[in-house]
Amino acid sequence: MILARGVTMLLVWAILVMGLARAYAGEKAALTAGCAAGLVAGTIFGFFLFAAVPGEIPFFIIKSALAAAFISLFIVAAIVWYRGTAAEGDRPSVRHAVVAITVFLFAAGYGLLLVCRLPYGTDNSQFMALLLILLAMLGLWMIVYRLEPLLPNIGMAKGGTSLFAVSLLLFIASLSPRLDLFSPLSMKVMKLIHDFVHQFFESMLIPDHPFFRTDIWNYIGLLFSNGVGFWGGLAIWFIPTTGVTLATFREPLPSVAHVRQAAVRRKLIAAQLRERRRRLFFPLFAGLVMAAAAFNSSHPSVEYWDPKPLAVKADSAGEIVLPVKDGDVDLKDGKLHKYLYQKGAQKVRFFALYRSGELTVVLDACSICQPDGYGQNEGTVICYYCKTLIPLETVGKPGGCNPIPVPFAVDGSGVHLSAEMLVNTWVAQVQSEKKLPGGGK
Amino acid sequence: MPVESGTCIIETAGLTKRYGDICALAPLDLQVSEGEWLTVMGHSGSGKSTLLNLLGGLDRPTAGRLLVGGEDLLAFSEDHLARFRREAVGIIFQQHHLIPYLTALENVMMAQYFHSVPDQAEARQALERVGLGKRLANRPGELSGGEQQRVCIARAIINSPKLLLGDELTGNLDHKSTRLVMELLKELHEEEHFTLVLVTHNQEVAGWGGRTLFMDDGKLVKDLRHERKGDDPS
Amino acid sequence: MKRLAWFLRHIVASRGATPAIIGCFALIYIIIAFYNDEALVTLLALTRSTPPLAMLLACIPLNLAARLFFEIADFIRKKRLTVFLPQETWAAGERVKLAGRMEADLLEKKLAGAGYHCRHGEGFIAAWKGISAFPARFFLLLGFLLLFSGILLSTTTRESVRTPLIEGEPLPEAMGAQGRVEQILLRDRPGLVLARTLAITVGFFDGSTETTKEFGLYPPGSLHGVYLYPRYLGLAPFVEFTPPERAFAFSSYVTLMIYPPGREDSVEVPGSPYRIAFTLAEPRSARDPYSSGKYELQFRVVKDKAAVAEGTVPLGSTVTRNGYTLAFPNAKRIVMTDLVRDRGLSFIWWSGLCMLVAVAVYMPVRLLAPRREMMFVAHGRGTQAISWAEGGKTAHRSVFHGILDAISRDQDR
Ligand SMILES: Nc1ncnc2c1ncn2[C@@H]1O[C@H](COP(=O)(O)OP(=O)(O)OP(=O)(O)O)[C@@H](O)[C@H]1O
Ligand SMILES: [Mg+2]
Repeated sequence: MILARGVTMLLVWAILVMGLARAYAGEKAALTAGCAAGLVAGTIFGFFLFAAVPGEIPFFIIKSALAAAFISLFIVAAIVWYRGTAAEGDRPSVRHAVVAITVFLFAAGYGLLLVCRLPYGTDNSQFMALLLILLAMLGLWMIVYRLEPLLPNIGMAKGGTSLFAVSLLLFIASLSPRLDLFSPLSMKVMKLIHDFVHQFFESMLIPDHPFFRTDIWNYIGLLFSNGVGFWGGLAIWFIPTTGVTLATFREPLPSVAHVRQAAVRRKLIAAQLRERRRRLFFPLFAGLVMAAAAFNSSHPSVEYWDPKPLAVKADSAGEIVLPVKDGDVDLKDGKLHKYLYQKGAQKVRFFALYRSGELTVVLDACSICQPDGYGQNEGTVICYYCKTLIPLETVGKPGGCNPIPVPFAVDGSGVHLSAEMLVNTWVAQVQSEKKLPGGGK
Repeated sequence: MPVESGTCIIETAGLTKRYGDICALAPLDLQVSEGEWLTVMGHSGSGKSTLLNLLGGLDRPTAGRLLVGGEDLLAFSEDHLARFRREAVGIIFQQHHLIPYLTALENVMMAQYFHSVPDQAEARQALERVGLGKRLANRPGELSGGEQQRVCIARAIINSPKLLLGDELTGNLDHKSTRLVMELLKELHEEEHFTLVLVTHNQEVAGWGGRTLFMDDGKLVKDLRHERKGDDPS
Repeated sequence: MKRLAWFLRHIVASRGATPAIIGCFALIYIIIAFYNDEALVTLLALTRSTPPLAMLLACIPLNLAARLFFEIADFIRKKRLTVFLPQETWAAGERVKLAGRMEADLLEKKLAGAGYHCRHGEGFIAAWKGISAFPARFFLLLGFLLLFSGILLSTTTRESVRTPLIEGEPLPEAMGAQGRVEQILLRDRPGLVLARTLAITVGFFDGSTETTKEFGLYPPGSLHGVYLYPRYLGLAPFVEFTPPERAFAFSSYVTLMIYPPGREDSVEVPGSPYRIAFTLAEPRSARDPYSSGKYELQFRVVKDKAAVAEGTVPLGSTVTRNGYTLAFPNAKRIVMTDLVRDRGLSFIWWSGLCMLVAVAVYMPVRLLAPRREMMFVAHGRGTQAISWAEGGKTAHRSVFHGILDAISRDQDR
């Protein structure tokens, strides 16, 4: 496991270094200094962060930094789009300091993620592993630098360097659900689309669904379907890479009008086209890496505890009783226990969980995502839809992607819930139920 | 009148080609200056095509030295040689080698494509120049032999080669068509200043050039400079 | 003065201003989204309540208006110059100086041969082909200008009041007019998008004269700048309820939001422990009860959280269950309406139209006959040649180069 992780990290490092070496060819000193310093600084800072700040906060900080890096790609893409693209190599004026700082930042980001990728625990073996990996990386750096001139003749598009480096960092982040950016992005996008449609209907005074034709309404309903967050998120995920690729593509070629021989002109144009095609490599490669990151994010490799929901029935007073201890089942074993209550066609999934010395009962859904449910992993539950990790301590508190809490009572006979309340809460708060613009309001 | 005493475009020394026992080309020393119009004559099997193929980089000699445009063809890699053939020489054969399912225009654009990028307007102009402005959209099967040969000429000159090689390009044509093609070649030769090497059996065709080589059994037997015809109507 | 002109041209009318401001708003949205689940609503509220933010938003229409102005001015100026080669696009095109000079007639013949229209003036020949995309550009800019003006007005000045319009009742005060809702008519008339029509007929009495006006679904009808935005339908049945305890008898119109059938609403019987929950029964025929007028109410009488009677009562009849009697002699239709005062709305509608026109104009022009231009200007003993194209660039370029070749060949002779 740790070996596989280490190999992946080394591979990504090799690719990163290779790309940077190509992007800043001829700046060897700045490149080496930036890389080594960044790597060391990032790792040390990571260790410090995890030692000094408890819980999820370091992850939050790193994730925010990643988000900032991702957003800055949009700015890069916008600048490239408006300013036009010329090969980055065409500007020998790139200062050593600028190169060193840029490379430092990328390497530091990598170092930080490297620390996150190490297993939990603070024994010495972890430290040794890290030291080994660091050494291996510096060694790899030397080798890769030697190999770089053997790379095929590919140029660097303007903006390609940051696109390339940040996409690799995002790829590493996608390997761990705590740092992954794509899933929260899709969730936010889903929310944005929902809000936007509501707002659009309201702003434009468009009547609600009772007046609509069903077929048309079904098309509008597509905007509220399960996949809209994923596809919308994917679209946004690829905007920087596609933007830079297209900008490179539509860049006007230098004029050859001064040449008076048609064949020579064609030759020049062909060379220009070839050169431009070569510059497309890095943006396209970044796109591929982003695709891999999105794939990782939607197929996390971690196994979650996710029992099959147990069907329960309400008694004549409309009450559901869950025994605390019943044969093998022990509600207080610290694992989540899923239940399914069905009234007519309406299904309600909920789960009970014993954490922090207390029982809590919540719906198997939150109020902002599609109700794909939750799974449990050490110390957290994960929302399958948006892949948000929720610490066990906060399960039972409302808000965000936390599972929706429901009122319940515990006594000697077990946990008591009102069936009607369950149904009402589900219908009122779960996304799929209030699926259309006017509904639920 | 093109200059006949310029720099050398073709320079060979001891150029030899053997096929097993057969000596297709005996050691040959030859110099051709830029802009020259050279005709090669001789019996069947005397090694004319062999020479032409060597000059065009279609084949490699067994021994000897071969400089074209100052560059040593023998030192070229296969890739480099292919590029040389696409860019620096134009070749016209007796069997025209046009692609049958492409139109005349597309055939010319194909040559542009292999050279660099296709350019329709330029290809059309080239066909107009060889007098086929109205037959752009016809396939080779719908053109006469003379017209096909003119498409070949347009195709051969489209990339402005320094050297144009023709192997019995009028072999299949009657007297009148031959004359039309030769007049066209003369006009282009004057405008484009390329060097022209034609292999032929036809005495009349040889008369259009300024220098004729006679070959026999792989050996150069006569190298004759003479008056060019075509200016006088006959 | 020059400074001011420069400022206007380069800052106010800059091409990057609108994207930059939109980027700012996107950034604010992202920051809000980090902390808040209702980011869009929060952003709108924030824009409404924060003058600097509203001013930033206002910069977008300002920028677009300036761009529109300068682009039109440019277009007109260039048009007077025979063809319109916008100055800034020269850079994107090609420009070259040739030693040679060609006879005008010959040049014109060559250009015409390539399908170009020509015009020559003193010392220059201009040639063009195809249609300029400027009209599309104009409509696009205008559309964006209207759109952002509309968004600005709408977010900052929209007012909305929700009120029911009940058949036979006077208009609510918020409408600011004296009148009565004469009739509410829902009809199944499948259109392109909507399946039904709603007609709210209102009679106005203005002193002596009486006029009627009909308000529909879409586009929403308006009165003195206030739009009537129908949200959902309801019913006001006249209900006579008699429980065993006569003292709690009740008879009145009750306003129930029970449309579509299946939706439940309830009414508390005043001064009693009773609550009556109503739903509209699914119609027996295919026709919607709201349009047919054949209502059937399902009711459930609840006393202290326990259901004591349940039943169904059609319009015009009386039902008794467990000693509880419910009569349903009459009903009025209700439309729950938002009265919206929104000056930006019409701007947004027009912007939609403008953008449609822009796309409809741009697509065929760009695909079939994009604008291609070239110009040859006598320049000392040589020629200055300029070329530029909006589309079909490759072919245009090659024609242009071919003509340049011809000019210099001509010179050689
Ligand atoms: N690929 C080959 N393998 C073996 N022998 C060859 C090959 N190509 C040519 N030859 C031989 O080389 C000699 C010269 O041939 P070449 O084609 O040059 O003659 P040519 O002068 O062009 O004759 P023609 O006028 O008939 O075209 C001939 O004897 C021929 O048989
Ligand atoms: Mg032969």
